[in-house]
Amino acid sequence: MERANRFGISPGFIAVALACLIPLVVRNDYHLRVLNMVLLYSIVALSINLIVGFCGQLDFGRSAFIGLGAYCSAIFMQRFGTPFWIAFLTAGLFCTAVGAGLGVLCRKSTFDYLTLITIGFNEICRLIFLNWQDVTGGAMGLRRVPIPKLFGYAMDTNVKYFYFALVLLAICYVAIRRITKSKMGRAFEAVRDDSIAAAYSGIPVPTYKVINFAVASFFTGIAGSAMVHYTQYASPYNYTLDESIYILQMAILGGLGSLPGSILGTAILVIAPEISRTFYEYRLMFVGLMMVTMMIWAPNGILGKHGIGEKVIGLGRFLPWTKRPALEGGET
Amino acid sequence: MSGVLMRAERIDKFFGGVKALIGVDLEIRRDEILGVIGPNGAGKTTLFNVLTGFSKPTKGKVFFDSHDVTGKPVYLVCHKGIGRTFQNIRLFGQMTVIDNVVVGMHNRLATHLLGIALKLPSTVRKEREAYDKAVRILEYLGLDNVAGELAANLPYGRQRKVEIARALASEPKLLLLDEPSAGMNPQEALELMTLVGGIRKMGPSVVVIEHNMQVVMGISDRVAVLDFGNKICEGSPEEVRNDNRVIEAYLGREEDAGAA
Repeated sequence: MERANRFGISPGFIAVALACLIPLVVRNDYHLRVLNMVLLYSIVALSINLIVGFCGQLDFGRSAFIGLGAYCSAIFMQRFGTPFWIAFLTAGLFCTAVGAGLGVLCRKSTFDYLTLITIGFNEICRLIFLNWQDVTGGAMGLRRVPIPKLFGYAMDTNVKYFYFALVLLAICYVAIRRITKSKMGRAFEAVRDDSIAAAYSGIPVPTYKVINFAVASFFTGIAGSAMVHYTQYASPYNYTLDESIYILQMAILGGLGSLPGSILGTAILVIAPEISRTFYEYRLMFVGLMMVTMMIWAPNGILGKHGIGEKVIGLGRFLPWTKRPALEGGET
Repeated sequence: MSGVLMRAERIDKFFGGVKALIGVDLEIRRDEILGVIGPNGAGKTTLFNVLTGFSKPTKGKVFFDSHDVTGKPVYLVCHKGIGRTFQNIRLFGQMTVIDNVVVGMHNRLATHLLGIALKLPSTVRKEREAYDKAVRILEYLGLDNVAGELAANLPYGRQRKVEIARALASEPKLLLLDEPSAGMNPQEALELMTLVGGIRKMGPSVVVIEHNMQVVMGISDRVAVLDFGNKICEGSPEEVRNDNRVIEAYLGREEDAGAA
């Protein structure tokens, strides 16, 4: 159900409408570029939230899937000359297939082993990107990845790409939110909270782990595709374990289980290194410190249930899960 | 035989050298409340685990509704119509109470990815019906005023009830309750038992593991007694209460008592 305020307009709609105005205010190309990266990384953060926040599986291998989506899409457009939308969807479906395959392999692995497997998978993919010269261009990467065209309309400026990324993010956001509020999303959460009780509720736990991985990988894959056509360059050095940890932190900082949180976390962690070069150089150190601090004092991030937002700023009143259903006794 | 809902035949369950169940036969009839009692470590919970496919019996067969379900995965056995609660409560702590109950309907809720993504009217309607039904179940158990709370934030007694609500949501033919009144005061235990009696009228047979003798004797139609993995007695509460082996199992033999 759409949450609507007393004017009958959903907050999401307002957010998108406001975001549409951004290019009118932000004229600087560099600033727009950063914002575009925020939008695209937000999709990745949402997909990682689906795995870590909703299904409770710790995944350190997301950047490998960005890479798979990016290379797949770039190769389809460059080598086979397919239109953008075919390359884009192929990237998503390819990642879904790989995600499902990986999911099947580790559907019965326990939490810690799954984490190790995803780290290993990330390394495997990185080495493939680096060494499969003929296909991935090796250490040189793929250069001059074509600019995407949709309906004969080339997205060749930052502003045009901004609107494309915004629409894409909005679609992914709505899709992921619907999934989380459906039977499937509840099954994910049930697996996260107690897999034995989930099985006794009739949920085939291993199957749902596979579905979760496959669905999330689809979103990661299309985000990877959208990124590579934006930067027009695929480098094997972009898809490393460091990168995976960094994007994992986006979801954690924003609050696991909170979709707006993922976007907020992404915005902070993409924009912060751009503001200060010092932060950029030490970003992994900061992230490490942040992770430790948050695990101890604020495991729920900024917008997660009982997270920093609710505790400190009093944002809690505005969040849906703090609303109590009306009691019969008359108190609200 | 249509009167038998579930049948366990000569179940052995060994954990290495530990014989948790030895040649246990058990019949659960339709429309009955069967109490399972026994001293600590007698194998009661193991019996539940074997019946539901959670652990595979070393030997023996389990039939439910005339299907062989021996060693089948838990979710498949549950699809056939079994609901269960646990000795140490297992809830989905970070989900709301009502979502916990709706998860219980997982198998009854036929929605698919396309319907979810496009928000098809049929999907929306099914979801709404599921939540309406969950509200009715919560009302029945007196939990409707905490429907929006996170399950982890509820007090112990209410968490037990949420577990029962979740199990009921799947409309089971058989409900297995593992020590439902553990940790409750006598008043709460009594209330709970009235509730269990009411549940039977809603349809499912109930098997209840219980330590509280007063409670179990009060509500059960039949009682089975386990001791060191053997079923030592089965019958009406009166028969069981007067059975020498049962008295021995709980109180020890007279000469033992003398020696101790």
